[in-house]
Amino acid sequence: MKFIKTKLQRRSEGYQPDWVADNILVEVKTNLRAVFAVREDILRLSYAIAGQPGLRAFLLLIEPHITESRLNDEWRNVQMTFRSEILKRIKIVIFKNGAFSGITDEPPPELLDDLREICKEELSGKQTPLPRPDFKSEILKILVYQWLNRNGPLTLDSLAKTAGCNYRTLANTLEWLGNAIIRSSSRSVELKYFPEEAWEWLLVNSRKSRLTKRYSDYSGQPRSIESLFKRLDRMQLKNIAVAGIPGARHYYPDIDLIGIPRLDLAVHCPEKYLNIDFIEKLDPALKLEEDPDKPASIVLHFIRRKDSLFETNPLGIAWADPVECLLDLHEMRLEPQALEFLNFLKTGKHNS
Amino acid sequence: MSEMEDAMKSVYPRRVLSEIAGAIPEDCKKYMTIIGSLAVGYHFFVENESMAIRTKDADCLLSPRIRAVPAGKKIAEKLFDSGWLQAKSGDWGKPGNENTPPDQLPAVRLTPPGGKGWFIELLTVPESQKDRARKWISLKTSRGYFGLPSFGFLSLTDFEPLKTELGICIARPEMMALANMLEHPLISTDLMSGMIHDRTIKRSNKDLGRVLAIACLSIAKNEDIMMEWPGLWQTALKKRFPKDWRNLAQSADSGIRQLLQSESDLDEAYHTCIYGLLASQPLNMNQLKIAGQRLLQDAVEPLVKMAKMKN
Repeated sequence: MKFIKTKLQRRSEGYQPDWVADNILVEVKTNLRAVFAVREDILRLSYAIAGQPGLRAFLLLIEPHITESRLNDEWRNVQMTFRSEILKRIKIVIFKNGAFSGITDEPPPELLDDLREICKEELSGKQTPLPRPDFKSEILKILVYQWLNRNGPLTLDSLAKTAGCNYRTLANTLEWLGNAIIRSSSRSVELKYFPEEAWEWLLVNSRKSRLTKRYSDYSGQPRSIESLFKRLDRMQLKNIAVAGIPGARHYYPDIDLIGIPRLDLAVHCPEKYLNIDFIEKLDPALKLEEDPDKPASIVLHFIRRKDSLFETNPLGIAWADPVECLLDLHEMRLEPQALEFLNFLKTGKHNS
Repeated sequence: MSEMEDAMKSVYPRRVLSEIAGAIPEDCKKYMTIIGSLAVGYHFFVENESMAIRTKDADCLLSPRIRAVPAGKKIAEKLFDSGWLQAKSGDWGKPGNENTPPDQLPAVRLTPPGGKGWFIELLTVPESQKDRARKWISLKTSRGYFGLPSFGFLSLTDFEPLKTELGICIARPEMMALANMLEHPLISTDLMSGMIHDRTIKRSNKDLGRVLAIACLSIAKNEDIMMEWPGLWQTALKKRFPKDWRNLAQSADSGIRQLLQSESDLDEAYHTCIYGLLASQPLNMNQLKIAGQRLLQDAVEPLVKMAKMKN
């Protein structure tokens, strides 16, 4: 079914829903907080379909801040007030954390793809936009990852796809890496040696290029790393991986580190928009920390390349790749441990 | 206001519980569960005898209901004989006679010899799962007739109670939290009869504040413990309210949500906590709010989800 976004939103002479198809109207509300708005929209949709028995209507709530319990209560009130022959043609659909649910019936399966497209379109203008990815850094990190893992050469096509960049950007970066690159006749490349100079550049540049958000605990009863792990594990988020100290320890159990002062997480977001709602679900006590001098409980680093290179684990949390973990150690100013970790990675034992 | 005028007194949970355990007949202990702030205080502070809580009463729940009247009579007689006195409350404390309607009878509220600023109050569980309003049954003693009240969701508080080393049981904190949440699906305007540290407080805010205090204390003991509550809550609700458990579970969150969204109500709840169960470990209002949000995420929302699942 083809849904069309209406050009005119609200007219003084009449109501127009946000999206229309042949016999379906869709009113969309994003991040809704007040339940009275639901009431108003149900009323508008009722007016719109009342005289046309063939019409159906959906109130699509994208990432609402109202609980399903409150929406159920409101729907019960609506049921007591409105005529059933109209109400049976109106449904409330909720889109939250990438999944659909309905009040009180599940949304029709045959419309889910269309509704998902509508959500995507509606959200595209409302989420936090991210700056353009720093592909030079991403390409360098991929090449270092390949080199440390003894993975051999990558075709240019594969490298560009892994990074998510075009050939021009890739070519410029490879040229910048100069003699550190080995080119083969099959249009493949790999690092000849660990590129010390480029790595130094990456360390200096990484604070900006990686994008970081820091969160502090405001509860007075901070959750332990183990507890946060347990909760992350339950959330089963495909775009989140553990990095930092636990990540480094995952690859190198003997690393000289005691305790975990903070939890570093890698967030894979190749898209232009950022969604980090999971933080509130991980712990409502976490608040964004703007002061870089204050200690953080959780630090997010955003991986912008197309392929996350996460070490996926079907039974539990994913691990960020060793290069990201190494960068985290540097960011924490754990220089001796970062050097120890790098030297270990260079032996290739983590991959054996 | 001096403490004398305050409804709440500082008491040491272990000492109060010891005194009650030592005073009541041995064969009645199995029918008694201590509920309310004393039970919460004992549960969380039993290892630290110097930790005081502020309360005025020790609520003693008698169950099963069929045993409540004989056990209540036996307890009252033994305490009278030991010098415990009916707490004074104007004319209201005077016992009635056989003609007094049960709802006009005074509750059994007995202060220990020497008057220590607290009293025990005897209660019982509702007769059926449909009884939510306050109901009284009469209790005949040698000193006259008293009333044994039952109301709301008291039957949840004696679900799998915790046995103490003193031989009497205390209610599980999480079950008291659930009972309080169900008791207050909305913040009503009913006020507490007494003041709490210079302030008049809505009853809903006091009871829901206790839920937040239980959440704070539980987190301090075991940060993940609340994740275990939904399963226990579901079992208890199914057992106590087999016909209505799904509806009850789905309404468990509404009062707490309303409280967390209202600055003034949350402030009252905060006030009752810092002058009550959290007196020994003060926190700020935002931290109390976070404890409530964690409670919703870890325990209440999973319960609501369980109730919605069709099986």
